[in-house]
Amino acid sequence: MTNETISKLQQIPGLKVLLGEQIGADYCHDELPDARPYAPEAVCEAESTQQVSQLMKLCSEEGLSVTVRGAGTGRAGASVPVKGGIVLSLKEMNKIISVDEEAMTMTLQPGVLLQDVKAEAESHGLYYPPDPGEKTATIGGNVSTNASGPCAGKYGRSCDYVLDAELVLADGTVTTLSAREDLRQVLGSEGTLAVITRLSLKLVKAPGADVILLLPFADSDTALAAAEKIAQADFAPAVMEYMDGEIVEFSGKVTGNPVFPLEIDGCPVAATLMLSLEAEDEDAVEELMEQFAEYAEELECLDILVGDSISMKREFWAAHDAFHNSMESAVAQVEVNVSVPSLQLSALINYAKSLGEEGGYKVMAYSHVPCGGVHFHGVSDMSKDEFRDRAAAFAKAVRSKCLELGGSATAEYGVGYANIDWFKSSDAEGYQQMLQAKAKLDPRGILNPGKVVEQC
Amino acid sequence: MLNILCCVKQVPDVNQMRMDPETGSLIRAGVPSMLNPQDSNALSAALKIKETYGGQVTVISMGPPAAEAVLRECLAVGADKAVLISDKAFGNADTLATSYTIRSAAETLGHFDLIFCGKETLDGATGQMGAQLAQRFDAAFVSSALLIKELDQDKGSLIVDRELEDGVETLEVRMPVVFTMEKTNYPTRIPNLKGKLAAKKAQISLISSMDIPELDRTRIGDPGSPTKVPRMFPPVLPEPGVILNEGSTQANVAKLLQIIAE
Repeated sequence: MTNETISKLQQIPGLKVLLGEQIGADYCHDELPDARPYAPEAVCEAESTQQVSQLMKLCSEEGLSVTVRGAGTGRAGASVPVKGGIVLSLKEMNKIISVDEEAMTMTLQPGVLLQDVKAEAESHGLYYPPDPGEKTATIGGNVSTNASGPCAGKYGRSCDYVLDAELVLADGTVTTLSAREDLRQVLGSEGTLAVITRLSLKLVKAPGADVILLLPFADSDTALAAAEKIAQADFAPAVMEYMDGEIVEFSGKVTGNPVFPLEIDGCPVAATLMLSLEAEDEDAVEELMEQFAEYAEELECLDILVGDSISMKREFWAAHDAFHNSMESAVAQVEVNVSVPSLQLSALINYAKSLGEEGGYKVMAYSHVPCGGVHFHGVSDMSKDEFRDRAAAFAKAVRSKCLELGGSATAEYGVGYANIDWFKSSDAEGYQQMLQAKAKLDPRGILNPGKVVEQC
Repeated sequence: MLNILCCVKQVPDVNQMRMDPETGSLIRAGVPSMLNPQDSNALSAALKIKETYGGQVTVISMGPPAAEAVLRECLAVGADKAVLISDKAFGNADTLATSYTIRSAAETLGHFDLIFCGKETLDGATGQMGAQLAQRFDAAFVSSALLIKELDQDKGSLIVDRELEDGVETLEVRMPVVFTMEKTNYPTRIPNLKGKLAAKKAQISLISSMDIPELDRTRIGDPGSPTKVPRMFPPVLPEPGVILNEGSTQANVAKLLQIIAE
């Protein structure tokens, strides 16, 4: 980047430009495990659409690459500047502009954190359902990756809640989705097609009451078969999580707060289903529970445990959300996130576990059953170096199996730069559509180069 | 047979509480209530004793009729009997009046060998109840109990580990004993659906001020509470610190020197 370009960047009113040593290490990576850092030549922290537009116009003229970044919590490298250039940070664009209670909408800037979106909706008696788990991610990041999470089966994914968006195109043009419906593909494109500078989100009425049920099982196949049956019945659970006994035990030991049962009346629990049932009020939830009790007799679960108090529900979710971070205590670990049609979950989980048995490491899994998303964690006492090849082989084998079973090898974490080949093989049509959109909207390839459709 | 008492309280979810900035009073409207989390660990310990050595667990709570809900939670995980001490005359009680009232009500139920309670409540957080109950029941007191290791019913004594700041103390205590419990070995119990539905229909005994013979009315409720709260206000928090993030140590030091100079 020339001094002249730097000077032009610095002349954009209000834009904060960081250079050289001012660029903190955080801007060089996201949460993709074991990834090498990539340093940008400059970091620009924008506070307004106008600044973003001016910056994009300049970069378009100069052919400079721009990597948009929110909180950097992604796990596929999407916000990492693999080809240098500029990191455009939107974390300062973090204002909630308005909430319309009657229309049930929220208008906000992309840098607002998911936890604040949820809290703001709740303070108006409304609900923003998408929740991939990481609450400190930005809403812009969630929409850019079309983040999902446990309740996606019932409520859908992040992009399903976007009513409108203000977009800055690669040449600096400012437009909106409502003006140009053909730009819908920008959502979920991981910053490769345009920059999202404002969002209008759909909110829904908060459920009047809910209860969490835990169904422990003596074996995991029975648990997954039960999940299929429940999905066919009329209970419409907002969440149906499969958690195997190993991950519950491992995480419980790490946190020192084992919440989910490992044994019921002396019988070891191999897997647990966690269901969230919702209804308009407490009485209706109770009625639903009673109906479920009758229905559950054919499910072969060891018991039905109930979390209906605030504290219990919080404990359940805290224990569930701790799975991911607890893995950091392992000497060496590998994580693979894929999705398959829910009927194939059993085959995929059994396959992944058999790989662990053969390779001498422990494979644990939890899954958002209705949408077939599975998080596999392999842990080992081997050193990281010793485990590296086995980890890579495991990830490759699981993803290949997932494709064989008709699934998606990129699933919740998106494509970024880490999963491009897998995107290509699991969704050839989607890949072609993205290629075409990229050629149309960003012909010079300045937006987030080296991601989604272009090798880094 | 061991007779075990577990004292529980219904508390508001303090995460959702707000304070009226003008009156300084807590806004409880619309704030859901819950079983005091530490009481659930106390109950878990009481149930563990019952399961190991036999006996009966009675849960007792002082509060408005709505506090029945937390007693039903306790019944759902295995408590045998639930008692609600409820009467307008008991209102506005501080810990001194509350411990007197609980002791007086418990006397009408019989003799208790073991009494459990949480270390403190989420709302008041005085942490006084355990010690006061021990005094009222003329019982030994073990605070921050980690693990009840042995119970000898013939000798009427227990071996118990108690957490200290710098270690663990092992005590032998003679019944009756009041315990406040640590969470470590006694996690909250999760009710099952069967227990939940049974608890919904269970009978909860009500004790009013009229049901306690020789109750000293000067020692209950507002008149019996020497603690007065003249004013409530949110704490004045210190100015938040500044995190220097100028990009490099050199730049951070330069900025720091500039701030000091200013």
